[in-house]
Amino acid sequence: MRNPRAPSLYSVAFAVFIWIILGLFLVYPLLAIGKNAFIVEGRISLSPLFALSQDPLLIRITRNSLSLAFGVSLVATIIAIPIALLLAHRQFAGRRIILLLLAVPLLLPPFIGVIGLRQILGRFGSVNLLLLGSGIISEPIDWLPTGSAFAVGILQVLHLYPVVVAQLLSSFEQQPASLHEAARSVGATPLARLFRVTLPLALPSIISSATLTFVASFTDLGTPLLFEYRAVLPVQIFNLLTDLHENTVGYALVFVVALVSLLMFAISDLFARAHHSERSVREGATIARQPLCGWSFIAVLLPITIITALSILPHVGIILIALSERWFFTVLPESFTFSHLNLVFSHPLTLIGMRTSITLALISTLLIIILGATIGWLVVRSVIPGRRLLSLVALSPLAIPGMLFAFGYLGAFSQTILDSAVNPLPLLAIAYTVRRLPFMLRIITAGLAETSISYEEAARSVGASPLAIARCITIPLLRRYVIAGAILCFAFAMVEVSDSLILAREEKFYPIAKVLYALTARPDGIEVASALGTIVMCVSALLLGAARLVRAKR
Amino acid sequence: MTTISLQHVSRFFGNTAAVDSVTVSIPSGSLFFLLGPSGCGKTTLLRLISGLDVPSKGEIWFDNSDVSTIPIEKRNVGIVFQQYALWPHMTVEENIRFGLTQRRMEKRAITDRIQEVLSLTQLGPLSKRLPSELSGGQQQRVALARALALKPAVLLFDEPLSNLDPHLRYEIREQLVELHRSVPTTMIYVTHDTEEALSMADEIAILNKGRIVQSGRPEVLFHQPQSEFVARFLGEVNIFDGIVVKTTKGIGCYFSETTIELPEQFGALGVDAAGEPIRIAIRPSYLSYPADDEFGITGTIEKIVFTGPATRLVIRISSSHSLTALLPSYRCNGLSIGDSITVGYDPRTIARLGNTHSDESSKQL
Repeated sequence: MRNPRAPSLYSVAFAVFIWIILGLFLVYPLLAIGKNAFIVEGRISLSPLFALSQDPLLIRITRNSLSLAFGVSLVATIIAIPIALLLAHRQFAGRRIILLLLAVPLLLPPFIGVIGLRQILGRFGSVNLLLLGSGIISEPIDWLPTGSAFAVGILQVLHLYPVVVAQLLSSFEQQPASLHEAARSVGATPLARLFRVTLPLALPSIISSATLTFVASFTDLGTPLLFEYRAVLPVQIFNLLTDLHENTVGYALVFVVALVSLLMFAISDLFARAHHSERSVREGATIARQPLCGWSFIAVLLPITIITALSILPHVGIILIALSERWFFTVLPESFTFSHLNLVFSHPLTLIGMRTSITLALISTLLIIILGATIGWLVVRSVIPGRRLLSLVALSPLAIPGMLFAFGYLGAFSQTILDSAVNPLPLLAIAYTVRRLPFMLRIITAGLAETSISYEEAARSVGASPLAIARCITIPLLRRYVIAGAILCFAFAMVEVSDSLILAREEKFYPIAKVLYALTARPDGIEVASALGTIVMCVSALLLGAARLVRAKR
Repeated sequence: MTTISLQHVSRFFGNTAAVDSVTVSIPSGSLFFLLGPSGCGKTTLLRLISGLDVPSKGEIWFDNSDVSTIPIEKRNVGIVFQQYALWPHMTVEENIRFGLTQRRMEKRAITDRIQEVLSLTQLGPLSKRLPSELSGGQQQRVALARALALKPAVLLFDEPLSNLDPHLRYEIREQLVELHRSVPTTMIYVTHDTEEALSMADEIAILNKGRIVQSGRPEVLFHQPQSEFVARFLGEVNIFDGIVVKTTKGIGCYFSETTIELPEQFGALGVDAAGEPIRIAIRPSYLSYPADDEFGITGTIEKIVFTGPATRLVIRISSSHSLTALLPSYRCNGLSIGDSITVGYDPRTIARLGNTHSDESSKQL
């Protein structure tokens, strides 16, 4: 007789299926990077890495990338901490609006914001024209000079600091009031409480978001490309795409990127383990928000408003360009039109982009639901061995930059049935799936963990089969989690950048991100790119709002 | 109705035995309680009986069938979970219907059965409501109706009243006993609530550290606990270690210059037992005041705690022993700390405990 405590045949079959998928499309492509970087003429060799370490240009570029990422991470964290603290602990008019506006930068990939930002902060952009017109300056200032690390950094900070705010806000909000009250009871001043209680408790979150920002900046391809700042690793790797198979330096550079990303992930993980206090204190009542009014309200709201306004400036610029009939040497558009928006639905390239992205997003979302639900069930409900490892591997794309996957796929599947040079769509669908699988997995495991196993046990007690339990109990109970996760994954897949830029090389296969990139390079493409960006932003906002509503609905 | 028999059943989690070689027979049609402190293994044992878990060792028999490895869906048991586990997306009626449809019963039969259990549990008017629209007591009844609908051979309850307020608990206790009378099924009920077990059970098995330490009828367990753990778990008790002595009336327990007469049934100890060590227990509520002339224990009042209808007195009877008495409050008027007092006892209320000294768990109680 079969051991009743052994994993069921269903779970074994599912686990084998999942491991094959993850092995083939997650583990193998990443191993392929190492293989392509270190296997020269069939033998293991460190010569590509050695060559890289001897090349002063590549050393400078690596140093540039690290400095840029460090600076962006530092500035984004410094900006985010006070904003998150205020949003967590203070109640003031406009708080909800600020929270809403903080989500705006997340609606579009940062590189598309370059168009909007140039229109406003460019040499003859709105700000300079305003200052020139009012006589404050006599010569236009180049706020965002082309090819400057500063410009790239500014845009990345504006795009990434809301991510840090969101993560820290959640951490600050969950801190128990009793810890702060205890500090007050022993006479700690507000400043002492901040530095001795609040920030130390949130340290794992601060480090985690800082490392996340670091990796995002370190591997951002779109923004430096658009600002024509070429002395960073992602752009160098992108430029080596064409002779990737002849020149192993490209893969060696990708390996460096992978190594740095892994190091950052390890640092974040180490901090989380060493400071597990943050997790262990989330009990009891949380701090009630104190009202903020009078001068303190103005003193606080002013800098937050300025930073928030700056962060949505690129998006405002894009919307204005999309709606402007004529905007040349004026502070604001002279007249408005919907013609650019209409053009999005007739322009051959935008039509290709929308059709491709929607198809890919739909396919990948469907795959994500199937894989996410199966892995979630295996991890939370089954007794299959290696569940923790399975969860770790499936969640690893959170820490692995998209460009690594793209290069992994190039290396692993060229000259196979999945060769992206022939047709990148299957690999793009797979890349989107693997990249966004962690989002769905987290949502589903949270859903399963929140849903008592007694519901399924009760169904078993009345004689229901595993299939009946899945159909009538588990799936209906998890429905809102799955729908919310699916909407999020669909929205993210619509604007997936790195994979799209790297894998899609022919116009007929371009997804939206690559269409936006291609249009910005055309003198007549700025308006239609902005119009497409505006539409994507609106759709993303609607989808994110819908996901939030579904998740909140009980 | 089904007789359940557990033979040397164990369940290990790693090296820890949650259930340790349990052997017990649960009579057909009885309302059987598994009683014990938190973490004693009672819920694990219930899950083994239900088929939600399988024993690491031993066998579970339902009548003449070994069901040890048969999963719950094939065991014909009904279970009422601690949190009820009502499917939140189904109405009361749908919750009851689900199991019946799994049995592929005819539609008409399903409808009739639903009406039957709705009526039995007085849930008729609530049949279209979702669980979230019901009170705790109503949810408890739905969980019961769902379990009863399938006419299970065994009905299992996992601390079903623990989420209800005391008043409702008392009311539902009576309803469950009434239900057991009207639906004669073998029922196994897990609880840590002593009063619940004593007031409802036909039989109780008391568990400690994964083992059944004593089982039997509630009165027997209460009056004749075999160990300090059982004596203390079932209520407040005075325990004395002494030696058997011969007295003018029979035999007694002597300690610290005090002799407590032992009941006649202890006569089996006989004169030959004199000098042997003995451990006895007497419940504070069985002591009386004023004492009659025949049996009394004298000491000095050390503490007086008024608790409403009863007053608790701590009486020092020797330098190393004190005694707690729970007396009707109206009898304690005029008593003060330091007063000398003699409380009476009936030797028949004295229990003889096993010789083992207090184990770790009993010290915690």
